[in-house]
Amino acid sequence: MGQTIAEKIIARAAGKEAVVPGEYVVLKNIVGPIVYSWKGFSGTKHLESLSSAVGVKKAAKPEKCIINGDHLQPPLSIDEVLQSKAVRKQAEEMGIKKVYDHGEGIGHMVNIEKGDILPGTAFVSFDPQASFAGGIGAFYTGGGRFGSHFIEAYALGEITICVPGTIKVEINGSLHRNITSRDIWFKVFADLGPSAAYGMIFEFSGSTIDKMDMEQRMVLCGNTAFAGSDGAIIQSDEATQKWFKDWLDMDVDIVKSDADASYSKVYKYQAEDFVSMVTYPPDMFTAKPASEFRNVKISQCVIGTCAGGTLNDLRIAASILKGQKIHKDIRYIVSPITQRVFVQASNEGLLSVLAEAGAQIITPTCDICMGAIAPLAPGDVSLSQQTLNVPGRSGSHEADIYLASSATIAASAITGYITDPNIFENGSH
Amino acid sequence: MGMKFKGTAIVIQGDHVNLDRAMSWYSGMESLPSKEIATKFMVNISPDIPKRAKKNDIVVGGNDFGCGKGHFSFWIAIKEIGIKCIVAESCSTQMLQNGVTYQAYLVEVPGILAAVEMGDEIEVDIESAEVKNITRNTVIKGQPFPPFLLEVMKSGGHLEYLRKKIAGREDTFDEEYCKGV
Repeated sequence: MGQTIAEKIIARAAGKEAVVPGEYVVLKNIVGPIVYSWKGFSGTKHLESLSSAVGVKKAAKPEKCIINGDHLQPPLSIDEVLQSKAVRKQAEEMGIKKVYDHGEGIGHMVNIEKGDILPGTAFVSFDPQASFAGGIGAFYTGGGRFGSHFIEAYALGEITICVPGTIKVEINGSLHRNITSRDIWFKVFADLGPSAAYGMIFEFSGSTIDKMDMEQRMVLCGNTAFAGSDGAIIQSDEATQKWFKDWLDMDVDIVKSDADASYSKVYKYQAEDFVSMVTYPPDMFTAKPASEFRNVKISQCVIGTCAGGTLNDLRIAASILKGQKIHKDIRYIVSPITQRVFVQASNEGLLSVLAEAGAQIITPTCDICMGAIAPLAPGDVSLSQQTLNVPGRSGSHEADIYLASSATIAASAITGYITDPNIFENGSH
Repeated sequence: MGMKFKGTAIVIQGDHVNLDRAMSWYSGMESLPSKEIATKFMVNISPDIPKRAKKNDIVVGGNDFGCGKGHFSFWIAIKEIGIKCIVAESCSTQMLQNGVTYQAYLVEVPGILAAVEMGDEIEVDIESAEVKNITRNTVIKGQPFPPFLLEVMKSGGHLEYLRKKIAGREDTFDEEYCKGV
């Protein structure tokens, strides 16, 4: 009986030949847990409080634990500076050496760049959006719908999970150059709804995925928890190997689903059918084509967060904004997802193009999603790559957050209204 | 301990109810005193709810109850009020994970919203997923969660379950350090 990518990784991490959905297993060979902090919340204190509740003083395997410091970047108050210092000190006391709080960028990507999460590995994070690394063929778990609490990974160095079923989303064909993973996910999510994937993970496949940029694969996997899923994954293939070789000079494994693997559900899409989509507030699972929002005036644009700010996103934004001016009523904030992307974007001249158009370029940071930087005032309307659009997410409860792709945001920044980038490029709005 | 609960139903109509929106959540809310958070309990659903909510009440919800991201105010509020049991048409994954962590007892019973009205006296059996409506003299049955989750709930939630599991392993358990739940 064939195994899916996830089943293969789970089996290996649990020391078994094969696994089936619904079966309970203990993953013994895992990376993590991975935690982070934000204003007023310390990741290390959280670990301390949970571990004392279960009766262990220190991590079973501190060498596997990771503390990301991707919020509070840069710190905006003395308290935030002190908080970051305290987390660093406590991590040291806990024997945790992997601490990424030096401005490296958003943890979900940094953990891949540092070689901590590799194709074919299983890892634990307390953040469902860590399924981002599913894009390189790694298996994320936080315990899952029917499994244990993530603190088990800290206390015992293992975690009990219920093997999830896999929902296959197969996409074949060629995407229009302005269509990115966000457009794909918004459409799929709107079709399936927020309770489509209880106790399951998504596996994205097909010729479109085979050709897809690695960072876009990661973004595609990053937000599937909003559909109730336990995670998401994409095969590790020759493209994955090339990315790791080019960027990190590392050799990695190929992990693919068997041809006769079993899936709980299968959905098929044709790439050419995807259009630029916008998710509108207050819910996450409601999206429509961008062209239906042409009367929505916007006041802020955000390129960044763990659902954006990739090299591909910056290239698309620069290609549309080159020689153009951002509308005078719009704050256009750009936060590359990591320092690596920031440097590469700079080397390609993308940041100058964006700055000349009027963009404000800032450091890689999660704070732009949380409204700690460039918050929204009552009446503001943001068009953003961020992950969440719930009222109050980025500041005022009386501000609206619409979610869109880099191309849609770039075109909209010029016109001042939500604009389909294809319609924009064809000379009309 | 048994996992049977008897109490007055607080019915939350609708599918995909987001707990943050229901509680009128804002960043920093968790730092308020529990009593104050309790006054906001499901206040956006109806301002009546925090006034009527009392110990041993049972929350009844729709499909995908707890949809989306929810912070901890909901769990602080129900603990303060003395509510332990939640029955829903279906529970969002985050609601289930947080509920089992915060020592709540949850069960999914499709059809529950049609079977129970606000104020009905009901009896819920978490292990059999059976709900008796005492007021209306009806019974409805759902699908219990997997045995592992039932065991965890019976132990007092994820952290208590792990504490007991770890206590059984002499090489890892630190009795002096353990502060319990």
